[in-house]
Amino acid sequence: MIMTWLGRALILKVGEFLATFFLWISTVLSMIKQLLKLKFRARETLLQMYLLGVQSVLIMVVAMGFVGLMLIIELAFHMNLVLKHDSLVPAFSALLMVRELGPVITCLLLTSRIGAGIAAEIGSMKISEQLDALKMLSIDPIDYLVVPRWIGSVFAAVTLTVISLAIAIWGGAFLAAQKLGTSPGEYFNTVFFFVKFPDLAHCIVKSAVFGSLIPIVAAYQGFNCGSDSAAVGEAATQAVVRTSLYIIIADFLLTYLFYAI
Amino acid sequence: MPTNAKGLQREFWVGALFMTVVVLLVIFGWLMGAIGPIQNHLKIFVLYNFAGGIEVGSPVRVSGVKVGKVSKIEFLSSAAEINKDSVSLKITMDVSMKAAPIVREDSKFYINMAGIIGEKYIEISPGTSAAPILHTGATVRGVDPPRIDQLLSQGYGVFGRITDFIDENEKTLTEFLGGMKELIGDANKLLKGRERQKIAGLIENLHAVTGDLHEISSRLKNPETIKFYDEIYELVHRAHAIDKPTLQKFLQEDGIRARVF
Repeated sequence: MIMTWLGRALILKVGEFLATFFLWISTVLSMIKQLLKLKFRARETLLQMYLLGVQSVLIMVVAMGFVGLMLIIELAFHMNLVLKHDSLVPAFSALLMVRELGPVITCLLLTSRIGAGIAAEIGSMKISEQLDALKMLSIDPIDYLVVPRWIGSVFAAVTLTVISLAIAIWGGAFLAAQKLGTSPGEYFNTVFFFVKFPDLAHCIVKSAVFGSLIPIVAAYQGFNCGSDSAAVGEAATQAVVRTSLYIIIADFLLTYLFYAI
Repeated sequence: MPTNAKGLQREFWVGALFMTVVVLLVIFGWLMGAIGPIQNHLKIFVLYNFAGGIEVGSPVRVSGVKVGKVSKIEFLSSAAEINKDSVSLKITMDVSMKAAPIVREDSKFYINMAGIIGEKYIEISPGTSAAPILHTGATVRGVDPPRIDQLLSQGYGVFGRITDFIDENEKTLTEFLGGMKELIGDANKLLKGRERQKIAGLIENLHAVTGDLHEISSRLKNPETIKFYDEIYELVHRAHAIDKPTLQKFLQEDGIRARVF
């Protein structure tokens, strides 16, 4: 009896997982198909680049500036504790920012800012049957809704990551001069002795991958939300949770690919 | 019109964000050494057998001042021969033209270590003014750094032999050390005990004797003494030449009858 119940539950769960997975793949493939056509809705794409990128600059600058300062203080404490020496704090903080924290924190912040919005927008369009209306007008919802947001999100992720790095590194230089007595020349010498251009290239690739995950996951949650208003909220929450999780998993895989193989 | 103005404003901000990121990437690339606005440098090839941890991007210094970086490291397919010395590594370095006047044919190219974690760099010692200046494309032989692993390996062998020697002669060494200990103990007792006064007297007498000897030897160095010594030497030399018949003849002339053996 119990075995039968467990078996049914397992089959249902596996079936649900497979159905979700194939829906996911189908969303991604539709988007790739639209992208390969190289016909973008310029006005909508520009609008999304503005909304997702330009309007997120301020929050990213403030957040990443503080992350850079926090890193200097924390690494100085740890290095003084272990090595009784803090001359390499700038190098390690910059390396950590470029290789990991820059793209990850920027894209996690971006997820919480835009992921929920995309899922809620598409979800509410679904329950108000606007998606059906688009289909009736022969407009592909993926082409109309997802592709511009995807381009905007990748643009936002890459540009905001680079700006965040600059803010964190220059902010770190200021704090290192105040707290550690490291001159800006010494700071940048140490930083750029360790941080190499391939690190920056990997950082940009990471941010592009994370940036592309945000609209895909959020749009998927929006397209597959329930038919009442509570489902829209649930879709928005799920979009943020899942995107954050996928970003962290993707970060591990990319770090492994770039540095461990 | 207002919609169009808003669109233009958005285009401006998206463009501004994009341009800011491009400028930041160029600055990062320049600071990381991936791109250089001034390509005016000496390209010098240095041959080594052991790179000692040098990597692409490692700094090159002349008299301790950073003047360039290592741009390429390659293995030579067939070991090159320079002055009957085979080398297997070719390191290409870019050196700023401002250092060119002192990088000469007799300059030495050392691989050094700096900082607490031992970052590696190439140090060029300035050449003499008599030697010709190195021109771009010149190939020189670098000074191989000491191989710490080899030193450790050799040290390990030496320590192994010392250990074997100690194991084989443990009894003899123990006896020797025991004897030494007793000897030192006896000497200590002698110096601290009743004999101390006698030893002090002995040392005092020895001091007086050496003082007298010093005085005698200085008197012997007097010109009159030297002359007297020379005369005695000459007399002995002449007496040595007097043989048996001569002596008999001399004595008979004075009416002395003697039998000389």
